Amino acid sequence: MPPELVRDALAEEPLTAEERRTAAGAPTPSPVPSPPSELRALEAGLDRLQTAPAEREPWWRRTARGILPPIVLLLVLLVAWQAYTVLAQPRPDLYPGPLDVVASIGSAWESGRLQLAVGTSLERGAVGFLVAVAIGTPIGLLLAESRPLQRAFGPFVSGLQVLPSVAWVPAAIIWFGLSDATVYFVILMGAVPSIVNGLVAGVRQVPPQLRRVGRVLGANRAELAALVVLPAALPGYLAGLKQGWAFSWRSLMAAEIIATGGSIGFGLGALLDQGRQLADLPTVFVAILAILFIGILVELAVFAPLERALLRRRGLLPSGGAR
Amino acid sequence: MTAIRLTGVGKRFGGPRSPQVLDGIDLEVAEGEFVCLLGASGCGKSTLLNLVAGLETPTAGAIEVPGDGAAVMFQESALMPWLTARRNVELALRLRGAPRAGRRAEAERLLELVNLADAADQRPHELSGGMRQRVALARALAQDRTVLLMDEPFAALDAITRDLLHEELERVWRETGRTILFVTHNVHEAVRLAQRIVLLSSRPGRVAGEWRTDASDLDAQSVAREITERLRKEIASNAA
Repeated sequence: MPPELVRDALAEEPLTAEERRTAAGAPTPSPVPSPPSELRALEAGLDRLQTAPAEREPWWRRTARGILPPIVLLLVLLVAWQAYTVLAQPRPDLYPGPLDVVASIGSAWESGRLQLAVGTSLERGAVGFLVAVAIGTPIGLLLAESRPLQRAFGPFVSGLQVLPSVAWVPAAIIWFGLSDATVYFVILMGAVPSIVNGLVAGVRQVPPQLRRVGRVLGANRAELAALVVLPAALPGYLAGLKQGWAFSWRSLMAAEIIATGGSIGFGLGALLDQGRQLADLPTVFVAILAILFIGILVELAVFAPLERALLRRRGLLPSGGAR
Repeated sequence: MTAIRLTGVGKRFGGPRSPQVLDGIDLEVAEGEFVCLLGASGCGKSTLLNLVAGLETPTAGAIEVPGDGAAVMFQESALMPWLTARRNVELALRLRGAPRAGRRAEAERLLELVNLADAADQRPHELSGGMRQRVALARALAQDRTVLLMDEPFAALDAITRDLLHEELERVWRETGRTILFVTHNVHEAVRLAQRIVLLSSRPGRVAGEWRTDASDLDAQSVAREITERLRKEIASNAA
C-alpha cells in the first residue's frame, strides 16, 4: 500500500473518494457512495496495523546468498582433491588431479570437441524437452479432466515414470537404427510421463473451494478450466516440467553413451564413451563435469527464477506479507 | 415482493435411509431484506445456503430465487491467489459477461466501495483477513445479483475487524439495496445485523423460531438473550 495514501486516510479530514478521484483527474463511471470518513479512517488504520510491508531483498544479496555457499564448497572440494593427488601421489591414469582435468578441458576445447559435444547435446535436450512438453501437456489435461481416463491410464503413466528410459534404447535402435530418432524417442519416453503426472497432480491439488467460487461466479466448463483450474494448477505443472527436464537430460545422456556412431552426432555421451575407449580418465571427468554443469545451469537459469516468481506471486515464499 | 421463497425444502445426502439434514423448511425473504439464519454447528444452515445458491439440489420441496441466481460469499475469502485484488473483482465481472472496456473502472469502483482502492494492486497474501473478506465482498457485489448469500463470512476474523466489517456490510447493504441471507452461529452477530432472525434446530434442521430486531438497543439485548436461551434448549435436546 502506498504509505502517503494511508496517511491521507488517517489525517484529520481525509479526502473523500470523490475528491481523491478528481485530484487524480480520472473520469468517474458513476458516483460512488463513499464510506463515512470515520469508518474509512478506522478501516485504513486497521488495515495498516494488520499488514506488514513486504521487504524484498536486493537481487544481488539474494543471488550471493544462493550462489556463494555451493561455490565455496566446490572450492574446498577441489583443494582437497588436489591436496590428495599431491600428497598421496596416486597413479595419474587412475586418479587424475584437478589440474589434469583442467588441462584436459583445455585440450578438448582447443580441438573443438567440447564445444561440439555441448552444442549437440544441449540442442537435442532442449528440442526433445520442448516436444515432450507439447505432447505431455494435452495428455495431462485430458487425464486431469476425465476421471475414467485417469483411472485407466494413471497406473501406466506412473509405471512409465519409474521405468528407466534407457530400457527403451535397444528397442529404439532396432526400430530407428543409429539415428537422431532413437535419441528423441528415448527422451520422450523419459520426459512425457513426468510432465503428464505433474499436470495431473497439479490439477488434483486445486482447492475445491476455488472451483466452487468459479461456479458461483458463473463460469462454464471451459472458463472454469482456463481461468481457475489451470492457473491454480500451475505450481504442480512447473514441478512436472522441472522433473521432465531432468529426465530428458538423463535419458539423453544414457542414449548417447549406448548409441554411438551411425548418423548420431557427437554429443556429451559420445565424448564420455570416447574417453572410456581411450582409457582417458581426465576426458571422462570433463564430460561428467560438463553434464553436471549444464544440468545445474538450466535449473538455476530457467526453472529457479520461474518457480520463484510463481511462488512469490502466490505468497508461498516466506517473506513479508500479511500477518 | 418476495426475493427468495422456500417451500417444504428437505435435503439428505445419499439414499433415503441417510439422515435427514433439512426437513420441511418454509422461508420467505422479501426483496431488500436482511435475514440471518442462526443455528448450532451442524444444523444444516450452510447446506440450506448451498441449496439457495444452486450448488446443491434439494431432495424435497421447491426453491424460488431470482432468475439470475445469487451471489455468494464464503467463510474463507476464496480469492484466486495469483490475481491482484482488482483482478479478482474483474474476474467476476468477466464471468458475468461484462464488456471488457468497463471492467477495470468498475472493479476499482467496487473496491472503493469497500474502502480498498489503495490495495487494488496487491495480491491476497499481502492483505489481512479482513481486507480479503472485503475484496470477496466487492467480488460478490461485482456479480450484480439482487440476492447476496453469505456463509459465516466473518467467523474467522478477530473481534475488532469483525465489528468493523459489520458496520461496513450494513452500509453496503443500505447503499446497494441487496437482499441478504446471512448464515451465522453467533447470536450477537445476528442481532447486530439482521432485520429478521430465523433459528434452525439441529438434526434435522427445521425452522425453530423467528424474531424481528428493528427496535432499540435495549430491545436487542433482550432479543439476544431470548434467542440464546432458545438455541441452548435446541442444542441440549440433542443430548437425549
